Amino acid sequence: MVAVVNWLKDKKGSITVQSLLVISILVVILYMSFEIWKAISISQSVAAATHQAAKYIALNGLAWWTGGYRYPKEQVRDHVQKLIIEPELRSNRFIPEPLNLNVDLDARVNPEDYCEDSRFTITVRLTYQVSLPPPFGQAAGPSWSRRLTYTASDMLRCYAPNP
Amino acid sequence: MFRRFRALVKDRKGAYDLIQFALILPIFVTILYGSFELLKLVSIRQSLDAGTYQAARYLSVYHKSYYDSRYDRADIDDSLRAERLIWESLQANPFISRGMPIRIVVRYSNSNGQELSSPVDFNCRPAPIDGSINVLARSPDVIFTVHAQVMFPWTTSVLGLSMGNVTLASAHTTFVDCGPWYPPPTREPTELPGMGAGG
Repeated sequence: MVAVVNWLKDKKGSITVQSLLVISILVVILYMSFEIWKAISISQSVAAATHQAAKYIALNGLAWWTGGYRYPKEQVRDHVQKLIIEPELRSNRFIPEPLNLNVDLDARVNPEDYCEDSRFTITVRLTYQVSLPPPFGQAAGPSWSRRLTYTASDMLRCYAPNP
Repeated sequence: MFRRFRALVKDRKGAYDLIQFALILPIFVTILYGSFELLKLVSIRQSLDAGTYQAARYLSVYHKSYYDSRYDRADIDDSLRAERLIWESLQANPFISRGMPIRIVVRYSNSNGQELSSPVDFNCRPAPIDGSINVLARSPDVIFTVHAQVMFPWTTSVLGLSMGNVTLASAHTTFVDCGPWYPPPTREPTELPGMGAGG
């Protein structure tokens, strides 16, 4: 308990030290709660972005890779990263700019049976800096690099004929 | 805690502990009440986010070019239905009362960031090249973002004080789902379909 009234009579300084300790612990707890909330929010955004990208690839992948357009895998990955993953992540204001993002796309198409044996995996890695509380008496603290990874796998879908 | 409270009651000599208690109590009450207000904001923000996600999903799947021809969707205002999903998600939040004057602004943008009046006017009819739609080339027409903003008066529930307006925002990016259109093989493929230069 921070003794407010006895502070003026505190000749030894023990209450001041005690108060400073308690206040600093409270501030650190408050700050870390905020950082945890931020981390949860960012991981939710990464998961949502990966799922949207996976759904987009699942529905259109066979057209890109076995149809008449024949897009390279890298081009599809860049397209999905620029148009789906990045806007989805940017809508979360906790994610700092510029985005430190890495997307991997792996697809295996069996030309003999592409409706049943065509799978892909998309992995999104987001790296961002978490500022740690500064040491006593300093204005800025060290930062900790945190990497979030989310992977989604699905099948490349064929057209389902109308019943 | 009880020991301190007993000491407080038995304190005959001075009013130190009592004054101390009286000074600390409002600080703790403020912290507690502030946490509750923060929880309220986080909860409403979460509802708005869930509603925006549902609206984006609805517009992605059930659009005018919905691939099941049994449903005629020509006369349905999809944007209005999507906005209603956001509204319903907010109304389901216990922190939002029925009479609260909430203002919701929903807008849509394409992948170039340009504003769209209706995000789902894309025609899903296949192009002649191989019976498919070149979705990759037509991304500004297919990919869209739903931005939702909710403004409400921030009134503290205990004291009834108005603290001004609060604005919360959420956005989700998705695409017009034209369905899994790629046909299954009708004959044995003679030429192996490649994965392109990167495959």
